Parts: sequence; C-alpha cells; structure tokens
Amino acid sequence: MNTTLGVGFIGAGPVTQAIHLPHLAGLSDRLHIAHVMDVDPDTAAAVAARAGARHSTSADELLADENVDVVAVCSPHAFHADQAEAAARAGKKAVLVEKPFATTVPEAERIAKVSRETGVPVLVGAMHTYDPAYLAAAAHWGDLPETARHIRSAIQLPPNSRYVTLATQLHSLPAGPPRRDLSDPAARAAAISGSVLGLAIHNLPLVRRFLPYIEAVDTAALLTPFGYAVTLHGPDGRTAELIGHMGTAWRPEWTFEVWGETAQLHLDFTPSYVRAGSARATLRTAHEERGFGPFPHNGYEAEWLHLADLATGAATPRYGLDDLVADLSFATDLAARAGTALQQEGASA
Amino acid sequence: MTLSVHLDPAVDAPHVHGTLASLPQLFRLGLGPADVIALGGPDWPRQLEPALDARPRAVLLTDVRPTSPDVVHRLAARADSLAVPVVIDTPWAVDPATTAEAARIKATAHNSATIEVFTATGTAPASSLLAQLALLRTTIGEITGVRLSRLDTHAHAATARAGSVPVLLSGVRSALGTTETRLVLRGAGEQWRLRYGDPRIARPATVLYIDEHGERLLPTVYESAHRAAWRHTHIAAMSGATPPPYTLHDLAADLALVPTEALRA
Repeated sequence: MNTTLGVGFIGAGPVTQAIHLPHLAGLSDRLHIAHVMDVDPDTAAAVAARAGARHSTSADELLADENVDVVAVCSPHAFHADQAEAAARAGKKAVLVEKPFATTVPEAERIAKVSRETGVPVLVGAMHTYDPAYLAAAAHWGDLPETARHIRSAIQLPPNSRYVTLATQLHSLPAGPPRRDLSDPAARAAAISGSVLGLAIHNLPLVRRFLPYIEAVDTAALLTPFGYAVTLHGPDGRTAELIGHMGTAWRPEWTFEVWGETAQLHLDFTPSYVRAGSARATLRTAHEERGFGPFPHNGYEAEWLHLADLATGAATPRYGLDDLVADLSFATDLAARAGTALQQEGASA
Repeated sequence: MTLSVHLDPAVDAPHVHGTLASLPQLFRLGLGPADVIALGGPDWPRQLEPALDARPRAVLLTDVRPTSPDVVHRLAARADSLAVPVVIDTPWAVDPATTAEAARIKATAHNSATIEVFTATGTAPASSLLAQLALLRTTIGEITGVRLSRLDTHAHAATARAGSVPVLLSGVRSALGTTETRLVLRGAGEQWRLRYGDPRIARPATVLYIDEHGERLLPTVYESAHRAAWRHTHIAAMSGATPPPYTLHDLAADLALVPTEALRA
C-alpha cells in the first residue's frame, strides 16, 4: 500500500510532463502520481504510463478517484476556476492551481470563497514565491518592502526546447498559437498583455511585494522575437522595470532586484524545467553582504512539499487567499495597462 | 612631453593627485604656466569661458553637472574657435573598456531586441542620467525620443529609441557606498553585458560578449575612467587631430535630449 499522497493532474501538457512529473518523482517519499487526465486520450495514457498512474479524459473521473488526495490544475487558463472549485468541492486534501490563478479577479474570488467554505487549501504555482533562497532572504530583509525605491525584474531565456529536452522526453507538444499580425494595434496590445501574463507573471508576486499598487504603466514595448519591456510606478513614486526576452541566445538570466533606502536585494533564479536548485539571494547593506543559497530544492519542489504539508495538516498556507487574489488582480491590471500603454505609444508615434 | 596642470579648487582632490602621480611623464602639477586646466563642479559653465580664454593646450572637465544645452553649444563653439580641445571626464563613456569595444558594440546595437543601462550610485540621479546618455552616445550612437518617467532625488527612469530598438535608462541613488553601472544589449543570438564600478578607482569594467559559441570575458584593464580621461587630455593637448571619446558638442546634444528643468530637479 502506497502511504504517500496521491496527486491527480488535470492537464498533461508540456509543463506537467517536463516540470511536474520529474520534480514529483524526486519527492517520491512524500508524493506519487495517482491519476493523469487530459482531453487527448493518447496523451493521458502515455503520460500516466510513465508514472504507473491511472488515466482518463474527464476531470470528473479524476475527482472521483479515491486515490487522488491532491489535485494539480494544469489545464488551459480558462478552465482553472471551474476545475479548482470542483476539486475543492470534491473534498480533496489540497489543490495546486498553475499560474495564473484564474483569468479574472471574480473567478479568483470564487475559488477563494470555495476554499474557505470547504476548508480545502489552495496554492498557486508561483514557484519563485516558494524558492528557498527567496524565503531565506525575506526573513532578513527588514523594512525593504516599505523602503523600496526601484525594482527590476529581468528574464532572458532561450527557447523552452533548450531546457525541456534536458528535463524530459515530451510525449507530445501541442501546436503553438497562430501567428498574429502585429501591425494591428489591437493585436500588439493583446501580445504584450499575453507576454505579461505568460512570462512576467513568474515574478509578479515578488514585484507586488515591493510595489503593491500600480499608479501607472509609464512605457510598454514589445521585443522581438518575443518579449516585453514595461516600466511602471506606484503612488509614492517607486518604480519598476520588467524586461522579458526570449530569443535564440543560449545564456539565461532570471534576476529580481530591489534597491531600498539602506539595503539591496539581488536574486538570481535558475531556469524553469531543469532541476538546478534554488536561486542565489544576496542582501546588501553599507556594512555587510549576506548570501542565501543555492539550496538543493528549487521553487517547484518547495511548493510541492508545502502542498504535501497542507494536505497532511502539517502546515498552514504560506500565502493567504486574499494574497492569491491580489496577485492575480495585480497581474491582470498590469497586463491591461501595458496593452493600453502600448496602444497609446503607437498612436503617438 | 610633460604638461603643466592647473587644478581648479573644485576638482583639487586627493584622488586626482593620485591619478596624476600615475602619469608622471605626461603631467606635472605647478610646472610653470598651465598647459592643461582641470575644472568642474556646479559652476563649471561660468568657469570654462575664462579657462578657454587663457588658451591652454587643453581643458579637462570633470564632475560635469547638468546645464542648458544652449550654454554648452556656445562654449563648444568658443572652444572650437580658440582651438582649445575640451575633454570631458564622464564616468562610463571614457572608461577604457568602453573605448576599446565601442566600435564592435555599435556595429551590433541595432540588431538588439533591447538596450538597457542601469546605475546604482551615491551621486544625484540627474548626473547619473547624463553619464548614461554619454555612455549610450559612445557605444550605441544617437538615441531619440527620450521620455522621462521619473527623475527626483532618489531615482530616474526613462525610455528612448536607438533606431527601432527600445532603450531603457534607469538608476537609483544608493546609500550602500558603492557604484555600479550596467549596459546590456540583448540580441536574438548575441548579447553584450558591460559592468562598471567606481570610476575613481582602477577596478576594471567587465565586458562579456555572448554568442552561439559561448561567453567571452574580454581582457580587463585596471585603469580608472578618470585616469583614462587624463590620458585623452594629453593626446588632445598634443594633437588636435584626435577628438576625445566624448566632446562638448556631444554633451550639448545629450543635454538637449532631456528638459533642462528636469535635470535641475
């Protein structure tokens, strides 16, 4: 009899195959994969077979499986809210929802309401918020969130395939989105909103920690072949620069930095997919420099361990439901403002 | 040839003496009439005119504070008419790492997806912004459409274009006692990453060039930007044919990119 917690995956796309399955396999003393659901029966069967799990094409069937203790919602964004709600109402022990939490704030509020009603803890897969080096630095950064003056998030990545092939051997790769005509201002606005919700979102809960309220997005630019450059500021004038670029260059950069009145935070994250351990964090003041990490577990492993602790009652949620809703609200607000700013810049160019 | 130097009181500081002592064959303090006049600080535009009228072989401007571009244009024209070269000791543009690689960087800049320059330093953000504009002019060339979204006593943030490439300029006034500036060009297949420290000390800038073959740290030069500026001053004084990396005309053009009132904030 398997005494570890059974995980059911709703959605077996590349993130499930390349990120979650290998990470979970490395935590086999706490968790095992019990059930894989995907609307494509071949994908469901093939991915489940890798883990010796059941498979289905129906979320209801997965939720009815008594061997599923915790549910991971890894489906397309539009299904997150309904499936997270159903998982909580099915009486599962915990639910992980891949980012974004939902597509709208009312949807996120609905998940939070159901979580409160059912007592089923919900966690969003914002892996950097669980990164052990980030959390170690957070325990020592003092008043940096209050005194922050400038925040900088830079993500430079090669194509995902460079890492995916090192993390797993994909069963299948869904077709990418159709190419859009970016000479159309509306398409450009949609593209930058999509890149904020697709790539920038990995660091947005960290940005919100230091810039809680957006007064305005000052500039927004699309980068080629894919990416964004967005600057924003808060009501007290603190500023943030968000840069994300995916090209063909091999060298990754995934940094998050904050400058405050008397301290500076620097985080250097490892790329997604590969199990390369935590970030390295550095906190500097005029008198000392403290380093944290790298630790063996990255944010994905840490979020799964936290989910296991939640499911067994060994922990309370690190981030409250209000925080999860606020993170989504921040992200969707920023995405919408970036789209508007880009359209306005296009109109004035 | 050893040139005599006059230091204006505003720039007469121990680190300047230390730099001059490292160039004993080029410069000597108090060696008869001044061949080179060094001046700077908040009052530099008013002081430069009489310095030019003294017809030295060259003038070194250091600690240049923002002022009206019209004033600088007029001073540049006067320097030209008197044939007095003026070298500007700006912290990143005259760094030996910059001047060594500027041509290669410029050749690839317009293929970049984005160009970013960021500074954390103890000096006023307006001065940092001006120094960043000098660095960009030296390495990238002309930028246009500078839009300032923040410039106050704590930080600055601006965007611009280098051709069609977005340029981000930002910086914070740091109380940590250190200085750092980074220039990053992110291309589809190649990247440049330049990192500078305190321009007064000889800690070398690092220049990384990244392409499909790997990442290459270019040879480091343990020479401060300030010492390099003095070398350029000697070259300019001895041969008017070689313009310094960053001129008064360049400074005037950069000042014209940003509202003067904003730079005075």
